[in-house]
Amino acid sequence: MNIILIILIALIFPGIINISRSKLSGRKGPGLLQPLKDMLRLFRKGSVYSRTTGILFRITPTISLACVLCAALVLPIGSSKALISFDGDFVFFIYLLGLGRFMSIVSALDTGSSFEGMGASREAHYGMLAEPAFLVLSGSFILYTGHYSFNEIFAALRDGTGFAYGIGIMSAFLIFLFSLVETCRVPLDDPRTHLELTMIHEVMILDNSGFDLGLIHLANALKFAVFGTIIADLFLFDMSPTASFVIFIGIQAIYAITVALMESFMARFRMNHNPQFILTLTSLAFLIFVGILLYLDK
Amino acid sequence: MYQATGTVNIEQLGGLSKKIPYTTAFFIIGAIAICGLPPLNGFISEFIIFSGLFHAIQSLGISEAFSFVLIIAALALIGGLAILCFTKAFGIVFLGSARKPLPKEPVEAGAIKRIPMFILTALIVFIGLFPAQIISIMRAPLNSFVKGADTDAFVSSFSGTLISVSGISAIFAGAVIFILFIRWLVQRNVSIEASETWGCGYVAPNTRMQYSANSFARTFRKLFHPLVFVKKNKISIDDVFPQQSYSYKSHSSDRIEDRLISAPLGKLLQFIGRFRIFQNGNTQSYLMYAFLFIIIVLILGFFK
Repeated sequence: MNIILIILIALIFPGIINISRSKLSGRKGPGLLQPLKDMLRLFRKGSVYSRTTGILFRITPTISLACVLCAALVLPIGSSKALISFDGDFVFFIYLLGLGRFMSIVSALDTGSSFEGMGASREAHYGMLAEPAFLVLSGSFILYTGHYSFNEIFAALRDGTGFAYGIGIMSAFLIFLFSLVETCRVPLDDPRTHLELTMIHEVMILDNSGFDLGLIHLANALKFAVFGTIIADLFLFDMSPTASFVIFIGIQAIYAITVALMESFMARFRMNHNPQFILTLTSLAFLIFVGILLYLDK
Repeated sequence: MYQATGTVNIEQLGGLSKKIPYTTAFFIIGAIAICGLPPLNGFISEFIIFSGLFHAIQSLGISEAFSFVLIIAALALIGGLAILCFTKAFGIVFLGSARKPLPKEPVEAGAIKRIPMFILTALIVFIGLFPAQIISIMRAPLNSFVKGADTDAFVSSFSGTLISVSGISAIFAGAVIFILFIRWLVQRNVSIEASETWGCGYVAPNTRMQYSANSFARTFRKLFHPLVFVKKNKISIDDVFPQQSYSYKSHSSDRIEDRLISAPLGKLLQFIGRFRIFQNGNTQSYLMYAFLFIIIVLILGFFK
């Protein structure tokens, strides 16, 4: 049930970003479903494969999509529990996204291109720097709640105290920035520029076409919906299914609009400033951790 | 690798996946496992370590909790580093196309050489998919190490978690197969073409223009600049049409290894080298050393 909702959100998520961006720059903009139509068009198209590439290049988009889909399986939505839940499922979650990253780096190198290795190198580098932030944040949640799985952590985190709200807001901010690293958006990378030297994600998929490119776009949209679900889970208190459904959609929409705001009013960082930015995420996570330690007064 | 190609310099290799496909498959499965990624055995090990660390955060005091969270951050960083390292090694050596002519044409390992690699790979996959079975085998050795602790209760509670892990790994494998099946259904009816790698408009790329291992690690090297020393011979070419050929070389080395290990070790070897005159290969001299040794021992025994 949850997974279907997340997939549906993912299908319109890029549309919301595009519409908000158009409105902010005074354009009429494409329809909400335009990115979805683009994906469907790609699914029907033929493909061109480079002669240099092998089987890895062909299966990577499939594996990437499967990684994000399975990562979404461990996420609850409010009081609706995750399909699969076990102690330490957040470790599985983040390492599955890591597998997706590993495969996309390898696939970029499979083309033997003079450009794609550049994106691959940056992806490996930024992923390495961002991962500690997520695990330290999970550590903070465990410290506060005493539970070890997404289901129980989120249920116990929403205890209604002011401090829990504080953690929720700080963590939502952290997850938001983390998702920008994972999905390669402004301010780390600008998906709209097609200048190869400044890109991370777009340069890695230069050679993908047709069905595979559609899968990659779908996986990227799903990543947004997955992180949006985590943010929403921080705030979905026990309430009726209808109310939590409305709030869930609302938070996802706010998330998409915030991404669009960033893209409209912020410039991309210089490439060599990105590591500093990503390291601030980890320090923010440590800050949350220390805050909880002091609050609990162990 | 060395037996197949005759070189261990990864900058000279490339495109081996087409020449030695079996070794390539074994290598990438090993690489994914060593990066600790699911659904292979490396992830199970990493998962067990993380479980322990997270439990420690929850159950111990303030200073322990803080040191354990530092360990968690370090372990996550190491995981990312492993991905950087092994995508580099695998990508440069096996993927793309050959960068330089090799000393000898690479040949696939024979059947007998492949068997051990196959057994190891099969174990990697098996442990990754069925960790609960392995952890119950580990129970007896665990008992002999941890005295007094209730390892049986721990193992049986933890294997429940591991069964969930193998369940979701199975779902993952199912999802991959399902999407591949749809991909096959859809792609049956559309045109699939083969072409050159997109060179962004440049039409005459050659294989030496591929991304190299050195450049792949560059962003990382810049970040850890104080620790990694890079030797470059910088040449500036001033004339528009250079008359002679130039060569460029760069080599990065680990400063900690250089200063703390190699340098003192070199000094020590130099000092010990002074005694090399005794080892002159002359049997008579060796007999004399033995004779002198016995006499010294006898004298010392006499004075005791």
